[in-house]
Amino acid sequence: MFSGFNVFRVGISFVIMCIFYMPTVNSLPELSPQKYFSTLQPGKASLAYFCQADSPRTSVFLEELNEAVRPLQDYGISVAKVNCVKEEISRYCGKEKDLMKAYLFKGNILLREFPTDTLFDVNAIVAHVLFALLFNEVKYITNLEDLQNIENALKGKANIIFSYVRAIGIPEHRAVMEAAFVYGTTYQFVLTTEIALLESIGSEDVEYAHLYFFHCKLVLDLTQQCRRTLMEQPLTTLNIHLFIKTMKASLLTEVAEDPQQVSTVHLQLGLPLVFIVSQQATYEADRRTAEWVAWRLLGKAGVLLLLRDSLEVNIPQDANVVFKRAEEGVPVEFLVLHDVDLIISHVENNMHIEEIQEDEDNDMEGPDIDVQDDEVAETVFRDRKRKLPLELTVELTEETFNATVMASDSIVLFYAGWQAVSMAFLQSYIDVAVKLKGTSTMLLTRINCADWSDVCTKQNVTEFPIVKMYKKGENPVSYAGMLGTEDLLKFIQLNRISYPVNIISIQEAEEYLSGELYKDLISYSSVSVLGLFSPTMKTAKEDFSEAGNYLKGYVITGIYSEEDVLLLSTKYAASLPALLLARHTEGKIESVPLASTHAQDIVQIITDALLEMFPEITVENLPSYFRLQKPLLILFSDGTVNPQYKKAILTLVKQKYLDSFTPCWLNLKNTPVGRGILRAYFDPLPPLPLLVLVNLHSGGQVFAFPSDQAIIEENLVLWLKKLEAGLENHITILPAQEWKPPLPAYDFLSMIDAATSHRGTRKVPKCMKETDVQENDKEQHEDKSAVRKEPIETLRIKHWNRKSDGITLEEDSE
Amino acid sequence: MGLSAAAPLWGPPGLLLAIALHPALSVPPRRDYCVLGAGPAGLQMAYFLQRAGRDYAVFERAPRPGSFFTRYPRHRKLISINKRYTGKANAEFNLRHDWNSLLSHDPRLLFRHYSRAYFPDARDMVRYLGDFADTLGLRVQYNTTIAHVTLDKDRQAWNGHYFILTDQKGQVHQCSVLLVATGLSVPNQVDFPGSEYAEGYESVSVDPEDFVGQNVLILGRGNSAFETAENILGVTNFIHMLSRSRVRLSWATHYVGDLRSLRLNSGNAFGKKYPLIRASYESKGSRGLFILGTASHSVDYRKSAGGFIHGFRYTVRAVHRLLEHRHHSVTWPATKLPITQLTSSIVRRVNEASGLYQMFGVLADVILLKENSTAFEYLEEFPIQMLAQLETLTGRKAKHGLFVINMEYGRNFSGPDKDVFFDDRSVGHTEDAWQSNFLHPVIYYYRYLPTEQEVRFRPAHWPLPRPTAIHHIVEDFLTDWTAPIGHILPLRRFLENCLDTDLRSFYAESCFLFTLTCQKLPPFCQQGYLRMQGLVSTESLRQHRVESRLLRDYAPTGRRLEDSSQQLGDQEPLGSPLAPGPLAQSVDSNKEEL
Repeated sequence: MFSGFNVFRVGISFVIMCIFYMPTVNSLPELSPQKYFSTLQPGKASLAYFCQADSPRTSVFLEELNEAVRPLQDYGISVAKVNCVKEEISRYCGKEKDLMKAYLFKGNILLREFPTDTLFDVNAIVAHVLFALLFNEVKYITNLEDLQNIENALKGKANIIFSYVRAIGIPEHRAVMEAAFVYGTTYQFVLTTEIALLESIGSEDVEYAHLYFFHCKLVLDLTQQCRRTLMEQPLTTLNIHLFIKTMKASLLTEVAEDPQQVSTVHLQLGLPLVFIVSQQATYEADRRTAEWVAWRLLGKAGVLLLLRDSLEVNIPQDANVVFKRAEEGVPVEFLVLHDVDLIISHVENNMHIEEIQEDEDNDMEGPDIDVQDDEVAETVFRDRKRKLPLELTVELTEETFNATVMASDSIVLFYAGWQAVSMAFLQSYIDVAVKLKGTSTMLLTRINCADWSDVCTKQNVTEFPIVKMYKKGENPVSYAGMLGTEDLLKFIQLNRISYPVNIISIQEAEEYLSGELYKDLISYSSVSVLGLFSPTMKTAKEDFSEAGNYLKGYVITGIYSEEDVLLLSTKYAASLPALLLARHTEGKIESVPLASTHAQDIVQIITDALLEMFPEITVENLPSYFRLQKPLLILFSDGTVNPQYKKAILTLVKQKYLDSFTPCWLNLKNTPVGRGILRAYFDPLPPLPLLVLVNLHSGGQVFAFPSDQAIIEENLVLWLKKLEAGLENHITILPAQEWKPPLPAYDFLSMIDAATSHRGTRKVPKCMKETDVQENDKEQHEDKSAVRKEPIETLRIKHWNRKSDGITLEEDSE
Repeated sequence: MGLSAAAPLWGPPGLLLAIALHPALSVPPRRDYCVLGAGPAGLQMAYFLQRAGRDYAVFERAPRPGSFFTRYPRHRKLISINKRYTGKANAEFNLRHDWNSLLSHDPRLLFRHYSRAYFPDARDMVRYLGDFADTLGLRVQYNTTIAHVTLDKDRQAWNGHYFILTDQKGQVHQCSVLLVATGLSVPNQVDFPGSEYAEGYESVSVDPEDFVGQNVLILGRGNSAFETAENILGVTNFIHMLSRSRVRLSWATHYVGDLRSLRLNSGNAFGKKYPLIRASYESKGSRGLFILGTASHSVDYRKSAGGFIHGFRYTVRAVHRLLEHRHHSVTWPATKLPITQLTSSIVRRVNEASGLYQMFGVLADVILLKENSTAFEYLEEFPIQMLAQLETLTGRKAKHGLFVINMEYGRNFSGPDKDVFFDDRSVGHTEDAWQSNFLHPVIYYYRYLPTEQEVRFRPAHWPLPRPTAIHHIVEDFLTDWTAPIGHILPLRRFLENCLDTDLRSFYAESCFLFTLTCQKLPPFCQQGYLRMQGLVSTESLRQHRVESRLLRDYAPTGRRLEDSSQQLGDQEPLGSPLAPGPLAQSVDSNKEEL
């Protein structure tokens, strides 16, 4: 349709276009209507602004229009100002000054008319004009259905460039239109201003403009979705151009030449190249990997498959990736990266420098100190709109608090509505309520201390969040476990009975030890503790009771001190007083003599007994093992630990080789954050399983058991001996830096000082005439930004010198 | 509250100085604390003494408490507001809008149960004070006029002397500490030709009929003058009002004693009217003699609310706390908390505390840091002009730095005849918080306790000496300072930079990662997670965490890198790498959010 433009389209260089953004000297031709219409050529587009001859010679609109002359000329569109003189009445000349419009003609056909306020600046002018001309090339849509229809229609045929801009006429819109002018015949452009549409295709940060490349041409199966690549750079004409160029380049190229010599379109566009080194034997797998990497790096780097076998130059034997920067003369890097992510992050990290330099002009500030960097606060804020089933817990007030906690056994959550940690925990608390719904005798309640401050203070609650349990006839107990659903649930369940349980017969004791007696509770406490005392050991029993009470909600404790206690102590080879520990998961019963019977010591013995010899370390239990202050010997495993490894390590434990360590294993399936730990230890990451010794408490060295050795007793013993002898090198040392403020704060003291000294030097006229002041006010209203920049102190003084017109009362002499 | 009262003896500072040394003649009944006057301040002090189980007595010349209010204000309407509904449940916060209640643990003794009027009737105040004394069983000796006070030197005495009080019946009382809460007594004496025709506020008729068709000249333009003028406005020919200074409206000065809705005020002769006392409310002349209530207003005259019930109820509590430490070794009450609660404890107080709010610039909260800044003690409502003497006055140590939380108006905001409704007066940007005009919290950080010199010679218009660093929490019209980004985040950054630490909160999973990848842990992980009290995130919060890119998602997604020889770890979606180094992490996470 616009064949006339196509000539221009091809030749346009975007680099030159950037220069066009600069102020232009080209001026706007001023013509009479007759003259203007005589200049119109068939097929050529022209934008004309009709104005009254007696209108002011300059206006904001005219300035902007003047600026649009050059860019529009580059698209073959002429621009003119048409003066409506009396002698030549044209229907395009409006009747009143303020009703003047701009008109877009193609040949002498009117395409569109624009009220001048839609053409508010040069960007809007260019954007609107191109939008009108490229009506067919750029489809404007408002809903997802339209998008899907276009997508379906183009599968196997053409690719789509879909963009979202916040509004028509803004710079991003202009950039998209300029790109469409060049590429509109090659790709289908689709444009929307509907934020909901953007959201529905799963975009984040929807407040910004987005541009996607939909790879529909490759799609042969119509049920398949088109792959999408998001352009990550800001929407400028140049960036879109570069982006489309990289989309056009082939996804994966195979080469067999010196990487130093290879050049593709990516390098010309300033993007690096990534070579995946391959050999014949693994060609198929490598190619799949390379394709995967190529998709991930689309628009960020070029990806090539380098065939090692047919290569003449030598590259290091272990290198599997070659990285070539876009800068000329920089030697290529040979890397050993065993993880797709490492490749991606290597590329991204090395692009960073450039980005930052680019950003410097736009954004002079560093990291924004007004941006939330507290993960709890941020996530709670992001989640604030979700409705929690709060009704499952009873909300208490000053009036209902005492009556409620006295009437029934209750758990109370004390929280503050404005505190993020409280609100994060409230979610877990509600989860507990969901799980206990209808099954618990314990009433779950909560009180917002932001409202009922006095109640909280009276309950001795000075920090948030706090959970307390109120039981009839007992002092309230503060919950001291992890602030999470699992542990709180365990606490509540175990507290269904009171501790220590008084066992009254040998048979009952055996049932207790076997787990039969409290079948439904032992899933919450893997160990049951039974204190054995002869009936006369009064203080010991009291101390044990105190310890059992202290541990209630964390472990099941019972006490047996009948006359026939000796039967039990003989059976389990325990001399009185003693503790029997029944480990239900292992089906074992151990006895521990009670040398000291201080309640505190008993608590310590029991908590120590809860520790396992070779535990699976988790987020929840690490603190209890960390407390032992020994280096951790961790076996990282992708899934359950191999029984042979477990056996090997347990053997070493029994042989006392591991007394100075805490041996444990980590299941990456249960504790995915373990990957982050491995990444901190290893670069590159060897295959799993990995056995690592971490000296957390002194020095922070990390040692790795050689991954090429089998995890068997002999090798482990040898390794441990070498470690002890100092013959092993650490693979890394954990950083020892302090946790400093993540970002600076506002330095108000300096600001106050600056303002004070400023005030000292600048003289402000003491009296102002009423009219002066009014003028002043007017100026300030017109230019708000100027107000902000001017030191506020001087502003205030101006205002105060204004006579108060509120109350005028007779003035007395002092 | 009206000011010009007519108590028999106390008030003229001259009398305080006239206390004579008097040898003890006999052994009269001895009390640790004697309180003069059963007005609001006297009863408030009696309440605290009673709660602490102290030996005390209150002497009141009238047969019931609050005799001032049986006569004043002459036109029976109090100017202290009684806002019964604030839209909030927080009882402490609500005291910001209740200017008549005394402090007690009994919620029935709140003034809102005594009057529905916004400006209540003085009779309700009399009834309220009577109930307060009776319900709490305060030990008041009514109909006892202390006619004579002397000092009796005695080395054994707490203050080196006893106060010997003689009542109208000649009964003698020996007191270790004397707390004077008698209000202000002497009406202003005017002396000019024709002054003999003037009628004082204390005796002027309140019946408008007495002024019908007259020309009236009112001296003074305070609350009393306007109260009188308003009462007779309808019947007089002309009313002229005359005073030395221009009219001060309290909305312009933020001083409650200035005219509010054109109502009552006292005069001006400051020097004559108020006794000389320290910022601890103790007489400069006699140790052990404290001035409470209206007469203590010299400490904050024309600045804060110390001359009014809603102000002095807090200063009385402060005096009581000072006495508890001085004579009973009870240290100033404080809450000891881990440093992770620092931001929250400040946010809590500035949002609800009424004492800070009413006695801005006079009473301030003080946070004393413990060694290595791992914990702190929070002291409420300390008289800040005594900051240099904090250690001896409270029995607490301030060796490791301190914060002072004060409420302030903008420096140049309020004053007589200033137009407080000027444009752009409100500040909305956190970086402009220091220019806030309305009452807002200001936090001072000192590395060391300031000295007396520093307090005395502090910069002009500063309530406190120059701090090491200062933070203003940006003003908020609803005095709600709980906005996560606008209020809490800048406060945390300020505190972090003062303490040189990271005060962010972390989920247990992050702490787990830090524990195994860093040698040091941020305080939140140290004091929570490592003590087995980590914060576990729920699934929905975990999702938000990944989306916000504050933490990498480590959940395996299944895709493997099929490289030739190596078996590789699972591939993870992109996210901000949580680097082991604390700084790298924070900078990164911020960048992600930009």
